[in-house]
Amino acid sequence: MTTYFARRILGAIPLLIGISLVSFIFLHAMPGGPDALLARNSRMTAEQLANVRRSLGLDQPLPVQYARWFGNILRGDFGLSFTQFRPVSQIIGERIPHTLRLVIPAILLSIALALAGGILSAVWRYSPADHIISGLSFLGLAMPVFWFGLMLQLLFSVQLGWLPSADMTSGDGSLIAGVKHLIMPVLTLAIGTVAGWSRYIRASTLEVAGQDFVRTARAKGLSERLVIARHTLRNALIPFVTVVAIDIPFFLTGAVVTETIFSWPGLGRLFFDALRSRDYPVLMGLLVYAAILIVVFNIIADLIYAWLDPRIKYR
Amino acid sequence: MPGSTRASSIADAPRLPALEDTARIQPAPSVGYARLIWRQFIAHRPAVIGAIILTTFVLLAVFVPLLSPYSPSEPDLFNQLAPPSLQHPLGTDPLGRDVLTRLLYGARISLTVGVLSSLIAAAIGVILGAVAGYYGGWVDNALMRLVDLLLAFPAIFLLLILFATIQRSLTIVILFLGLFGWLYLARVVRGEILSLRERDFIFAAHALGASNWQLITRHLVPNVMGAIIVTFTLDVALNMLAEGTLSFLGFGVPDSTPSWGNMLNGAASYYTRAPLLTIAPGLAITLAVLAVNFIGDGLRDALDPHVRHV
Amino acid sequence: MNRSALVSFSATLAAAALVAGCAAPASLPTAPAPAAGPATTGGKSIIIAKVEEPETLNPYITQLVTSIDVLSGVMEGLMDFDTNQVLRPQLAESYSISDDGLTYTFKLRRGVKWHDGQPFGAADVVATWKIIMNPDFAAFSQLGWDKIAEIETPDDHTVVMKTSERYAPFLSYVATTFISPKHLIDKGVDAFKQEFGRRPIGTGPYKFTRWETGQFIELEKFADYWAGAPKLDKVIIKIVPDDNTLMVQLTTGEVQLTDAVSAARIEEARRLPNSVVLTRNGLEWTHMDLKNIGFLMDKRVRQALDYATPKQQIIDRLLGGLATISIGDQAPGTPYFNPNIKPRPYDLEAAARLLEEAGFKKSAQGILEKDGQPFVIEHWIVAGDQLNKQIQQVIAASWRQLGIDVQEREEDIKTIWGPNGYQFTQAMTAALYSWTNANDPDDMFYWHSSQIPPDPTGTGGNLPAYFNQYEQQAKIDELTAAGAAEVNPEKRKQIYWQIQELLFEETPVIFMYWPQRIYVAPRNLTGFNPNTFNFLLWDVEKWDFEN
Repeated sequence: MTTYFARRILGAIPLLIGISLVSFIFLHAMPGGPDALLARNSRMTAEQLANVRRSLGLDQPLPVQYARWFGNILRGDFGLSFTQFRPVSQIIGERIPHTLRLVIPAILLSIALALAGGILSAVWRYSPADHIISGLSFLGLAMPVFWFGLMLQLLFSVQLGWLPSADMTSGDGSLIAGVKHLIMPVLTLAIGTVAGWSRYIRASTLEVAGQDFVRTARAKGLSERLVIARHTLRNALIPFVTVVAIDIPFFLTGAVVTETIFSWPGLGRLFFDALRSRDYPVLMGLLVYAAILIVVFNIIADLIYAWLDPRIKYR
Repeated sequence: MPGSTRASSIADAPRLPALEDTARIQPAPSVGYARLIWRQFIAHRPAVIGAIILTTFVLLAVFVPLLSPYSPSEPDLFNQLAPPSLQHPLGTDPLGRDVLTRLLYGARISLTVGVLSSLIAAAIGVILGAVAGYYGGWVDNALMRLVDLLLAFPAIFLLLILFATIQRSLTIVILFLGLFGWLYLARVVRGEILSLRERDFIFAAHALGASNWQLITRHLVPNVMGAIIVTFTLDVALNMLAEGTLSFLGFGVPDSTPSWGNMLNGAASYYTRAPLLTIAPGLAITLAVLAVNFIGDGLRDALDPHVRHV
Repeated sequence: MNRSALVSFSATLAAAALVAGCAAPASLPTAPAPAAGPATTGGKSIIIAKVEEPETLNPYITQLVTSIDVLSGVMEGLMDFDTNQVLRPQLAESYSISDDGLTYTFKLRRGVKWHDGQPFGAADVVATWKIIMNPDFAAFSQLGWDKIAEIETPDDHTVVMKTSERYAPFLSYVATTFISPKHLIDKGVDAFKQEFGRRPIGTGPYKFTRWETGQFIELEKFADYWAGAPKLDKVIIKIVPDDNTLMVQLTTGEVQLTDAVSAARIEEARRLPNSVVLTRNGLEWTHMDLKNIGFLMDKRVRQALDYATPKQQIIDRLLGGLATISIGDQAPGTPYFNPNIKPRPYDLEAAARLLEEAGFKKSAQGILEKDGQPFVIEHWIVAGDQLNKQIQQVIAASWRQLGIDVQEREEDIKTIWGPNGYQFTQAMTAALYSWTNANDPDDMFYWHSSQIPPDPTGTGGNLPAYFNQYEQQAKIDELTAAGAAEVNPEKRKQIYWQIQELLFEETPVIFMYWPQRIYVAPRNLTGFNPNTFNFLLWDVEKWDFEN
């Protein structure tokens, strides 16, 4: 198994190189570079523009720019931002805690709600509760996540005035203020996954419930609920853990939209700012960071799966 | 929602791995079988409701020029942000245009994007999935590596970069959603074909001299048609949502054509003065996507004998 | 939450322009980045909301007006502009110009201290010149500074700048540039770029103390300020990108002062019980470039489009009346503005007549045609701004009534200015955006043939003439060059009045309007007097709260 994961991790390296290369090509295929505005600046002479281009490294041929960037990455250096003129790793590093502040509660909330909803509707299958939960799931899946966020804002900030409509904190910056600011963005970020996950749990619980060993347990005269609690759940939850691990990177990227709606100073905001100013080093940093997250969590998902379900053998 | 128990009715961005085994092998389609499917489908109440809602949307979208006296784009600066009234049941927008009219024109965009982009995705997904599954070996390996690469891509960042920089148009939105949307379907089709490939009737057909192409198109793909149709339907819903999100962020369909997403862009500035500007288009998307998902669910139950008995 | 584009764009230009220290701030700052609660306990403090966060506080490489707005309370130039656009002393107590107009001598103020306690002196001015001219540092503007051949410092409080040529705007560019401390510049180009940009040190009334990324910047009063200690203890600049939040926080008092309320929400702002709304003229002119190509090379066509653009309606219905209709490139309220020119009224019939005269006929589909060619025009706006979109819809609808096939384009600002921008395609285009003027009427950048970009990546602001020079290019060149060189104010004024008449007649662009700057301030704040020709914190040391 160790060799399997060693292989997975080694296999991820060409994948990441591929991703960085494709990202780089994409970025540089964008019309208008970081210097586009300067060329329309009345204070700029051709000579100064050449200086700026040289200082940003934009005067080099693209393959050279990529090779340089890649060489620096290997040494852990993500370069300097074209607009902030400080290390990209520092800029991204500042934003990560902000995004995590949003993402971690959202993941926890999603798991809690999904477990509750999924198990409830599996245990009381075809009951009114099941139908309500199923209905809500369908609604959750059909609603555009961003619109859910807007509706929360409209209702709780504008109409009722209970919650602040944007930003990370306000007033005295106390814990309570912070929590108030968290409520709507976290709900918005969670809604997309809760519905999906709870359907998933319901289905896998029922699937396991149909398997032989559960039937045996039932035949032994154990009550239905006990059957579900003791035998079904554990087996049903194994794949769910994997699903969660795989979906975690989506929370981080999904935060892009949520952060936009709630003016949250996280990675999503940073991405839009960098996009607007064609800040290539920051954009590359963000793309690579996101790709690493996806790959890492995929590997983690496999690991967890292997750990939870010893029947699986890895070559 | 009895019968619709599979997790695979999930149609939101994070794809769940268990979706892979949604569709099961069916006997080759026949007239009697089609009738059976139809009966299954209309017995599925939500699916029927979904079909009715969707049909209504389509009819309204097609006939809106006859139904509404207003232009969806012509501003009327002396009638800005009018409250709901008989003339304007949903009021007017900041440029004085009738919101209901724009909403109905918006249905055209939403549905067109949903269907066309999913068709593109389905075409690519089925072909690549079938080829990978049928030939296996290095072809399979190469294609699946490609899928891995694309799946590992921070898609939202990439899409936003693309949309931020390419001239915005309906065609571009459809094309990109299609070109990025086939990965999952390709996996499903590949998985199905991989298992079908080893079955007796394929060996038989092969022995009878069927070419690879014939095998794929006549025997293999028809057998996974159920899975394809279900996935396609759910993709339509997903792509409608994607269009909404992109246009909301200001990256999607240009404003000259109203779409549900671009109607929501900037609506937040009018929360206090015209909350309907935010409420109406979102409700429309939700309703339409819900309808499509219901239909997808009904189709799954009808097409997939395995599900029926869960 | 999407309030960037046009504004952000002109804001960007303004700020970049400002490196020379004198361009004016754009009215509404822009773009996004969020906020949090800075501690405001103890003492008197004011919280100012900005929509956009500075990317760097290094004054020579920032591209945003918001950065200069913050720095205007922290750093100082040798001189700066008062509300009458007249230079007043700052770090220099006085100056003199030699008779040949080549040598400028500044007497520096004594007893001025940097925020870190070091004394300010002539060496700082020299170091500032050197860093601005250092090609490795790559400052975004060297305007004026590049005319300096030599700086002498006979003593620690005298600076003698010798220029290589006579240059009328020298003072308004060089004297208003923020001066940086030599001891920090000496740390090296990279350190100065990175560290100073996050932790600026100046001689101004407030010292920089804290910057929470995405949330707020905190300034504290500098007790040793040369003009006496300022009255407020703290000035906090909070980043509030969302306009709903901004209105809410203005209501609750979490934000007290801002220049970020959009014209569309002015009525809400006027209803705020504890605030007053102030407006000021701006130096920003919104217009539509008409690329000199195809049908647009005919003056009558350009005039027809001018007639067909409902400017006053746009001002009244979309800008809350808070803009002045425009006839040219000199700001109303400055002496260079020509008051004799009356804008063309919104008159579709006049437009139709002109087009008919120019030889256009309507096709069966109702599209105007000439020589078998349909009149197709691309209308470009900067993406991300609601107001821009609304204006575009209004103009497109109006032009379509004439039978013009208008194709709307909305693009990212960097796309527009890049090599794929509207100005470098063969299509007929009209592009809506703003330029922001400096504190000098010199407008060669906009119209002179030397400012036609040599290629799509080249510099220059005369974009409509990229493919074909204006019919009157020779005359325009002559007049704009004469205006830049003329030092007699009255003669100079006459030249610019003449230029405006010529431009109005030729209509190389459709002049739209001058948006006003909108400020919301606490009712009990005294000493707050926003200045068209300077930046937000230009007189912050005078601000105080009434009891």
